[in-house]
Amino acid sequence: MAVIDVNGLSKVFRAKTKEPGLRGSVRALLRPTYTELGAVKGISFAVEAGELLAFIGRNGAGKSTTIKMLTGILNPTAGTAQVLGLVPWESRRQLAYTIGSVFGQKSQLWYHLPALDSFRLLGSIYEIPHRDLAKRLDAVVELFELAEFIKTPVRKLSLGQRMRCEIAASILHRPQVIFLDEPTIGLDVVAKLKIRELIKRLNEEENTTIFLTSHDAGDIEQLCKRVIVINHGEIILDTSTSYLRHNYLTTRIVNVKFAEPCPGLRLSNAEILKHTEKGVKFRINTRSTSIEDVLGELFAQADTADISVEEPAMEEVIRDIYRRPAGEGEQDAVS
Amino acid sequence: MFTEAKRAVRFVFQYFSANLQSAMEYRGAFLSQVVFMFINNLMLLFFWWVLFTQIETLNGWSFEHVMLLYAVASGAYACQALLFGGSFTLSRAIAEGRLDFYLALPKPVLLHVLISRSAASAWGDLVFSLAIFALTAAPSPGLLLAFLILIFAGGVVMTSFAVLANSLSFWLGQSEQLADELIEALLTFSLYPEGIFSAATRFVLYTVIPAGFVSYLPVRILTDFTLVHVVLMILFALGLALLARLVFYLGLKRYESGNLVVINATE
Repeated sequence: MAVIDVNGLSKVFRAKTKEPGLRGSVRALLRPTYTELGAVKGISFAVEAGELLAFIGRNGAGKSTTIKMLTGILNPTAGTAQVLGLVPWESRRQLAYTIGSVFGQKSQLWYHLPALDSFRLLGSIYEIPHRDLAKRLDAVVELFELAEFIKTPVRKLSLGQRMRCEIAASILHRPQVIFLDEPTIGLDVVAKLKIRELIKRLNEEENTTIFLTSHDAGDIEQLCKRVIVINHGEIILDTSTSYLRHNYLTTRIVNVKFAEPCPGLRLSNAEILKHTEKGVKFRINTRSTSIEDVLGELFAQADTADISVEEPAMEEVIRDIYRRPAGEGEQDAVS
Repeated sequence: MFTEAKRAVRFVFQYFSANLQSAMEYRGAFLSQVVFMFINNLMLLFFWWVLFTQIETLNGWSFEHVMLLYAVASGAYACQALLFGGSFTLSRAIAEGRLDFYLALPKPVLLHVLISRSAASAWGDLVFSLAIFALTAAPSPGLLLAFLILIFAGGVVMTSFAVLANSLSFWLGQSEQLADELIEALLTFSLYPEGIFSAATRFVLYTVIPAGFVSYLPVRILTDFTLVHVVLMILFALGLALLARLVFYLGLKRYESGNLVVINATE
């Protein structure tokens, strides 16, 4: 069953325009002119219960606008959306009891108080009965391993510990869907891994649907089975992470170690990047050339000791998607 | 409805308690703010005392009246700043898009924003208010109860006025300065005896800048009790609160549309 169902959702902002200089400012003051900015342009998608989805895009692509519409903070210009069967902007308060959100750059914890105090306050905001809250707190503290610092004022926590508390704070009321907006921003490698592990456990153990935005390729690769890429307000790709990883960027780097030097090596369909006495490194495009053909050509000329094939890093794949002009990419998309 | 009201009171109290705990994390800063605010208020009253050593009354107002005026006005301000401190920074919250946080939670947005902050220094105003009130006469428990109700009603008037002034940001964009000046004007007028103003100014002070309902009318009720004035006071506070709520939610519709000048359009 789809817990998020979006159809033709659009958001157009009206922004004031101004010509440069003082004259432009005076003119804008006396006779303002406006321009319409399409932040989200008729997007459609559905998210099933228990999915862990990455919703990615460059800055200004329309990610936050979409999340704001799905949480009921912003009204759309056109289109429809339902989250857990409710229209977010019509039933915002009702929906708030069943969804959670974490905005990596905005804290919901009290800076000068221990996280436990914030949790209790949130318990009251969500009207969780005292006994239930105590039980839930025990479970969340255990799941997120917070016992060590739950009574320490938030200002004294590391960023990683704070983010664990932020996510814990957003799940106290057992939301069925949680929107995580850049939860690993600014964290070190160890803290990132911890947050990823927790998100995964949250998804697996509580079957929480997770809608994640991130600029970190590792978050997407290690957590999400599905990726939606939004660019200039349009969905340019909606596919599985493994498809993206293996099929989207079709270049492969091959590293070969020679048993004997092979100075005259020629490969007709590969781009040689480095060639030394010890080995060769070359790039091939698997869309136009098969690896077997190139390796056949290699074996015919050289005595090889070791071969390894590198897939492009997820970061590179995403960079490539972002670089493509709008419209290109849909042909690659699979649902 | 009763359960709803009980829940709202508990909600307000929990925020009040969290704000107080937060302020007390820095004991030195907290205590010095309270003490300095008390001294600051005392200095203002001292100038009036100097004036009243030269004259008996000022258009019917004696020094005791002015003391009561200060007790009431600083008490009302303390109620606003301690319980609804978010009313001072509402304009900034609108301009910076910080209402998002409150919109994502299942509580009434306006109430939630208002109680989210509390000015620690206002404890100094509250202590000052009660101390000066105790000095004006020999207050009976009944009079003290009336005083507490009146400063709370005055606090509601000040909060509602601040909400109205700050809600201008929904239409004008960044108008914090204007809102701050309007809020400051209300407090300033509340600290001058009504008797020094002309009839036209008094009309303004009972309507546009309702200082009359923050301090003049409460002082009159405390010195010369009439039920009509009490009813008038409560009705005005209630009416202004409802108007502020109406205007805020009208403005919030613009916020939700995302077409505020200040909203980052594409993110």
